[in-house]
Parts: sequence; C-alpha cells; structure tokens
Amino acid sequence: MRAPEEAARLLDTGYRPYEGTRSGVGGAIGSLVRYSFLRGLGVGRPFGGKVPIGLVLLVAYLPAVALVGVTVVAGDIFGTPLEQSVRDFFGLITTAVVAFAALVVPELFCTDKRTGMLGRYLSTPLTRWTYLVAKALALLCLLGLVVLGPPLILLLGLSGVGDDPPGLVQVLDVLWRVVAGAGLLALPLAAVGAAVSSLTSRRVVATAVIAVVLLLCTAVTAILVATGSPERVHLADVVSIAFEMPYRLLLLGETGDTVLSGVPLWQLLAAWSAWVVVPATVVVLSYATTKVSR
Amino acid sequence: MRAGAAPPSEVDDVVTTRDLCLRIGGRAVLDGAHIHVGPGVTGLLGANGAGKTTLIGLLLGLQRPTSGDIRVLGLDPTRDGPRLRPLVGYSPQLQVLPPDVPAVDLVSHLAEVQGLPRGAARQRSSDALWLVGLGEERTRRVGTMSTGQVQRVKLACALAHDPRLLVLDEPTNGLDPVQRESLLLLIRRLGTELGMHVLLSSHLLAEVEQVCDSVVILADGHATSARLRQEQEHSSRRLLVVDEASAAAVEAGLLAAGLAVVRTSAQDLGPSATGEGLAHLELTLGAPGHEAALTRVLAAAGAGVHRLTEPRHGLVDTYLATTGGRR
Repeated sequence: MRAPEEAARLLDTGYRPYEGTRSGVGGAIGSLVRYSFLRGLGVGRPFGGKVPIGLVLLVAYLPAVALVGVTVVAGDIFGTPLEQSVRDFFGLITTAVVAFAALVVPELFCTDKRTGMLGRYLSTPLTRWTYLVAKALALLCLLGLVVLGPPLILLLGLSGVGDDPPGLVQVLDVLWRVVAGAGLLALPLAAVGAAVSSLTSRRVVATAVIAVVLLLCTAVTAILVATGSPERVHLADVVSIAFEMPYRLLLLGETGDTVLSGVPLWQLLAAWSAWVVVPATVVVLSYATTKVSR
Repeated sequence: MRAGAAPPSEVDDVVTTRDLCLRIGGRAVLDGAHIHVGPGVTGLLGANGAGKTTLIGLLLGLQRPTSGDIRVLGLDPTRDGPRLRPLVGYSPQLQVLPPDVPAVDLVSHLAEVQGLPRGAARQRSSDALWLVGLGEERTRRVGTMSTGQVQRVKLACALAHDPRLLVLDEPTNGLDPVQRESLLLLIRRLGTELGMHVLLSSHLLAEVEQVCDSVVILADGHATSARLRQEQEHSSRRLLVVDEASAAAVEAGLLAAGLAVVRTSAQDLGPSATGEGLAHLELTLGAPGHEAALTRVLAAAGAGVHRLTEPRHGLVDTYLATTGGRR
C-alpha cells in the first residue's frame, strides 16, 4: 500500500497567474468567428433558439438529399445535364436562404449590442473593425451552409450516379462555378442583413425588417414589371440579383429564363456591387459611431 | 511572472495622463487633466456625469482624446490598444449579460478572446468563478442569476485572463449591504494577495475609503490625486479636537511629554472640519507610553475633548474641497 502522500494528488490549485502564451488579435478573431458561428446555429442556446434554425436547414438540405436519393435509387430519370440540375436547384432553396439570413444575421449583430457583449469584445484585443471582420467571416460561413452546402451535396451526389456520369474535368468546372456563385449569392444578402441589424439592438425587429425588405423588394419589382416597367427594374430586387449570380455562372453559353435574363451583365454587376457596398457602408458608419464604454 | 509583462510590483506608473482633454459636443468632459495612478487599489471618484466612465473608455482606447497624452501600463491606448487590452480586465457599469449563456461558457469565451488557449480559458474560467464565490453556480445560465451574482460573473469575466490591471466601473451597483461588503473584500484581496492593480470607479466615498490605497477625484474636467493608506503613518497618527481655550495648555503638555504635535487650522482640514471655538491638533502616538501621556495631559489641562480619531476622514474633505461640495 502506498503512503498517503504518494496517493495524494493536487486536483485544484485555485486561481493563479497565467504564464502561457496569448494569441493576440488573430486568436481573438478566430475565437469570435467560432463562437458566433455556433451561436448562429443555435449551439449553446435554449431549445427555442435552435428549432427555427434547424427547420430552415432541413428545408435547405432536404431537396438536395432527396434528389440524390432518387437518382441513386431510380437512376437519372430527369436526364438533365449536371450544370443545369445544379443551376435550377438554387431556385429551390430561395425561401430557405432568405429565411436563414433573416434569422441568423440579427443573432450575430443585435444580440451583442443588447447584452453588452460589444463593449466587452472591444475591451479585448479586438477593435471595432476586427470585430466586424470576425462577424462578417462568421456570417459568410453560416450563409455558406445553406447556399453552398446543398448544391455541393447535389453536385457530388449526381457526379457519382446515373448511366453516364460526368468526368472529373466537368465536375471541377461546375464545382468552381458553384463555389463562386454561392459566394456572390451570399454577399449581398449578408450585407443587407448586417446593415439592418446594425441599426437596432432588437433581434426580433431586425429579423422582421430583413424579411420584409427582401420580400418587399421581390414583390414590388415583380408588380412594376408586370404593369409595364422595363425588366431592369428587377435590379432593385436584391434577392433576384443574388440568385442571378450563380445562375449566370452556370449557364455555360445557354440562354437563361430568369427575370433578369435580358439585363446585360455589366448592369447586373453594377447593381450587385451597389447592393454590397451601400449596406456595408451603413454597417461601418453605424459601428464607427456606436458608443460602447458603458 | 506573467508572460510578456513585468510583474505588478515593478510598475511605478499604472496610469498617467498629461493635459488630457476630451470635448464632447462642445462640452469639456476632461480639461487638461493630469492623472497618476500608482500600484495597488485606486479609487476613481466623481459626481455623476463627472467623466469617470468616459475616462475609463479613454484608458481602454475605446475613445480618442481631443488632446493630451495617456499611458496605461506604459502603453498608449489609442495606438497600442490591441496590445494593452489583454493586460487589462474591464468590468463595465452596464449590468446586462447574455441571459441564455451559462456563466462558465461566457467567462471562458471572453478569456479565449483575450488570447488564452481554449483549454486554459476553460480551466481559468472555473477558477475565476470559484474565486468570486460562484463555483457551485458556474453552469447556471446568467439570466437566472441575481444582481449580486451577475456582478460577480462580470468580475470573473474581467479577471479570468489574468490581467495586470483591473478596471471596475461601479461594481457594487445594485448590491445589498452584505453583498457589497463581500465584494469589496474580494476586490481588496485581488489588489493585495493576487497582486493586480485595481482601478475602482465609484461615487460612494465610503467604499473607496474602505478598499483603496489612493484616490483620483474628477471634477470640472480636472483630476486630484490623494493617498489614503499609509499604513505605518496611519496607525500612529491622530487628530485631536479640543476646546480652543485649553488648546495651548494641551499642546505645551504634549510637547513636554515628547509627542510630535502640529496645530492645524480648520481650513487646512477641509470643509467638514469647520467648527467654532475648536482647535485641531495632529499628533503622533509613535512610542509606548504616548497614549498614557496623552491621557495625563488632557486631564491636567481640563480640556474638553470633542474628537480623537485617525485622520482617515480626509477623503471626505479632499472630495468636498475638489468638487466644491457636490456629491
């Protein structure tokens, strides 16, 4: 039998000085990105905060999983080229993407202001601008889950099945277009959501305003075009512009059939840039003037 | 020794400002303030709206001064903010925290953002919560905690990453007397046993006097500094207030008995010391037998003794003189 002093172990030494390394600004950004990403997904939040996010993710992923499943079981019954399948798929997840943006973006921005966390973050190595960089990265990762995840599942799923599976070169050609298109899709929605959220500390208000702004844009422009206005009026609709980007990237020389198909590319890019830059400017100005020392 | 920084005992100037000015909307919140905060626990006093929280914002680099120079732990907060702030633990005045997050997760996350690796942050957040008396409650969501517990979580957030300077903005707001006493004892312990410098912002003179070694008083955009605790000196110094008529005899008797005595005017002692027909004598009871000698002298002179105290109440006088009587 061992002597008591040999068997004893020091389990808790209590509060003591920290002598290890500190990760600095990079570590602070990384930590905030990870925390915000998980909060956005509802991790660490009560059940009520997880349910809507889970449902939206289900709505976004279910069609992709179902299409791949059907193709695996029944073969290539649709007979459409790979790029067209993926291109058309973006239209299926429009509602899920808009709902996800409206739910997630306010959680990332409003909650920190309402709970005093913004002031606490700014008393760390983070500045207003590195804080915004971290939030933007977390937001793009989150939106990537719904704008990139399902199309990737579809692309990879359809690539390996069917009677005449596409070659690696064709898959890679579609893959970069899907990734780039998803990024171009996410940016304006993220910017608009962040701009709205930067103007209020109330998450529910921001969610409602984002949903209304996005839906109203689509509805009003559709009515105007239906009553005789030119097609380019759709450039005022951020949702149409956002979803037109991956669509155009995946056209591969075909003629499109979306509401913006007749609008020249330069006009589309100009409108897309405006929908990114103007809301981003609102975010920057809002945070530049936010008082946080209390 | 702490990583990347000198230990607290090697720091002479925790905070220094020179000609610090801050104008907000045409109003001078700070108007050429010279501030010196040395090691230990320092109180930051001032009436509501005197600029205490604004000054803290400047010290953390959250705001830029209109002009003037600031050094915190030898660094300029406006230029070196990201390097300085991991060395500082800040507990803001605002009493809200994310309600749906367990205390240990919140403290751990903030320690990580302050640069600690995840494992160390987790361990130290538990240690910090035990230190502030919330060890058993550390997994509770913050929204279910009482005001006193939330104040303690805020303190744990501020100290989990082992800062060299703790900045506490009104940390006892909303606490009952028992909770307040307990928290003040803890703050004093942080400044003495754990070797952190503490800057305690408050508008309550009593708690600053109870906890702090020195004080900075803000009024009209200017700052006044004063020492509160000079232990050896305070243990032997006394303020004796006697009838003016017997003062000369008492003074002569004490000098004859070998005590150091200084006659002080009421104006020198500040507004609270005014009194018609009274004399104020400051003396030192530095040797065995001095107290007995004092008793003998007072009895022999037949002096009417109005007060015999340690001259600690000087903070009230300094505060009132600095602020012109505004509380």
